[in-house]
Amino acid sequence: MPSAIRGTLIECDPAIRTLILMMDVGSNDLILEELDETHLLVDSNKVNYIRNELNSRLSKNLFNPDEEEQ
Amino acid sequence: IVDQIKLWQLELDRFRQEDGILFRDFISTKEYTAVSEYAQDIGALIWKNDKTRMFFVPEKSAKDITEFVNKLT
Repeated sequence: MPSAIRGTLIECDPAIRTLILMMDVGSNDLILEELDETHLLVDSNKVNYIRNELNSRLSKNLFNPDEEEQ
Repeated sequence: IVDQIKLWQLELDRFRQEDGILFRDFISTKEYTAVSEYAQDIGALIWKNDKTRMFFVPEKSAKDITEFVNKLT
């Protein structure tokens, strides 16, 4: 008998996928299953958190080069 | 920097999400193939990986698939 797991399928770039995997390292409560290079199954209650966290990490990356120049 | 913003925007645009049910832990390739083909036939298959014997369907189709699995066994 196969198992059935409720969750949210996320389809994204491998780079974004790596960022999400890194977010999960501390808490281990985001990712239910690593599906392939461009898909993850995540906890449906954590999708908004993941999107917000991605936005903030991506914007930090944008500002880093400026800080180094100063 | 504007180019970078455009690049990240593109990355986030490629982030798609879909709620549903993942089926996994099939005991054999035969069972996996039968059930995933059924999911395909009823138009429910959103994603699958033949190598790891897993597939994903919308929640509304999960009941039909579970009934199909029960009929198999």
